[in-house]
Order: sequence, then C-alpha cells, then structure tokens
Amino acid sequence: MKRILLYLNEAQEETIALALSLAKTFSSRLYVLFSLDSDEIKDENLKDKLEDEGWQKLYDVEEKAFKEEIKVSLLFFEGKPEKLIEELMKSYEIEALILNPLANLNLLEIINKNKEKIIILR
Amino acid sequence: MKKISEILLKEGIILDLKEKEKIEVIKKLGERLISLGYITNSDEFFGEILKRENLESTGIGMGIAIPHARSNAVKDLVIVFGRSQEGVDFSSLDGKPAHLIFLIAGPEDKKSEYLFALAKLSKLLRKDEVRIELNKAKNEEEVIAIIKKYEV
Repeated sequence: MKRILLYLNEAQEETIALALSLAKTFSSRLYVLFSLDSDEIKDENLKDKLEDEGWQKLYDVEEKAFKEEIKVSLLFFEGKPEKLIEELMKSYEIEALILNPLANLNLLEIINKNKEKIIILR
Repeated sequence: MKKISEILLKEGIILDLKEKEKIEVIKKLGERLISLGYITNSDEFFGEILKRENLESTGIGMGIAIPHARSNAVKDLVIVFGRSQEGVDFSSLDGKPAHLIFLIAGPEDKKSEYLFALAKLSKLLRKDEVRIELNKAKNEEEVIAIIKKYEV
C-alpha cells in the first residue's frame, strides 16, 4: 500500500491517527485532501473561514506526518468532493482511501466508483 | 496572530533569484535569514528544512513553493521571499516550476502562529491576482504593499 488518501473534511483525530499509522506502517505516501465545494457555499465569509480552517488542518496533519517521517502531500481543491476523490484516486493511483463515515459525502457513490480500492471508514 | 505583511522581512526579499536548483534556492533564502540574525545555529536550521524537503513537496502548485521549518535554531517567526524568473523545480504536484518562493521559519515554541502563517500564506497565494502582481512587482516595497492589499 504505497499511496493513501485521507479525506480531511470532517475527519476526527482518530481518522487522522489511523491514516498516519497506516502510512508509517506501510511506508506509504499520504495524500491529504481538503475540499471546498464553492458552488454549495454562497456566503463569502463562510467560504473564507472554511478555507482558513482547511489550510490549518492540512498543515497540522503535515506537521504530525513530519514528526513521524511520513511522506506527505497536501491537496486543497475546490469542487464536488466525490468527483475530486474519484479523480485523485485515479491520477495518483491511490490504493486506500480513509475517511470519516459521517463526512458530508455521498458515500455510496464513492464506494461504487472505487470498487477496486480499499476504503476505510473511521 | 500577526499578519503575513508583518512577518515578511523587507530585507529578506530577493527579486532576481539566479539559482536553478531547489536546494540552492533554500540555501540562498536561508543564508539571508542568517545574515539578518534570525538563525542561531545554521546547521540545525538547514538540517530541519532540508529534512522536510526530502519528505514532502513544499511546492504547492500554481508556481508557488513554501519551504518551511520550525526549529530551536530560529529566533522568531519570519518569512523571506525569493522570485525566480526561470522557475525552480520544487516537485509540485501540478508539475509546474515555482517562481514565487516563500520560506517560513519559526521557533519550536510558536507552533500555532507558524501553522497560522502557513495557512494564511497558502490561502493568499491561491488568488490569481496576488500571483500576477507579485510576479510583476518592481521592488521590495511593492511586494509588501501587494501582500497588505490582499490579506484580510
């Protein structure tokens, strides 16, 4: 398992800890995605606040990964999260996806479009 | 928390980077920090920043790279900036060379301020108009004025 994707939106500490632990165990590169669905968020102040939060969460995970000597790549994208995840899974040849089962996502769509991959809900 | 324009050092702005390799650029910017008196132990500082570069890409795409390090060898949270006309390969995920390179250095005990600065700068540089204006800036004063203009 050389490439793992962590969907960071709504990820709890235990979701992040699991992703880091797996990346460390398998010497994987950890891709960390924070997405902002601009079409759904009309309030500019809220969008601004979410973008701030997103980057801070990303760099917080990066800091933890660095301490554990885990290779990490931060990804911040605007768009529909299901579509972004599908595209990233393909383009970076991701083998495992880790996300919070309570994340604001169409989980069924993600599972159906990534049948060959390992999907860990935590 | 301090604004980016408050921690970006005017004396730490280099608008005509000639270095072609990532490591050379980091050393050039790091040496500027040393000459300005912000680094107490250059070996420790370069060790930290280069270790991070080996583990991850600090090229965040769109022609931007933000190499960074938190270390006891750094006296205060500061940013230095270099601009490369030719661009430097920072192994960005979008495959594009970095033209705007911001190096952030902070002391070990300023974790939240350091993460805040990284987040604010990354967010700021996603704006097309900021990158366009920074690429055109004629001097150090203009660089700081652009950052001030766009940061909220």
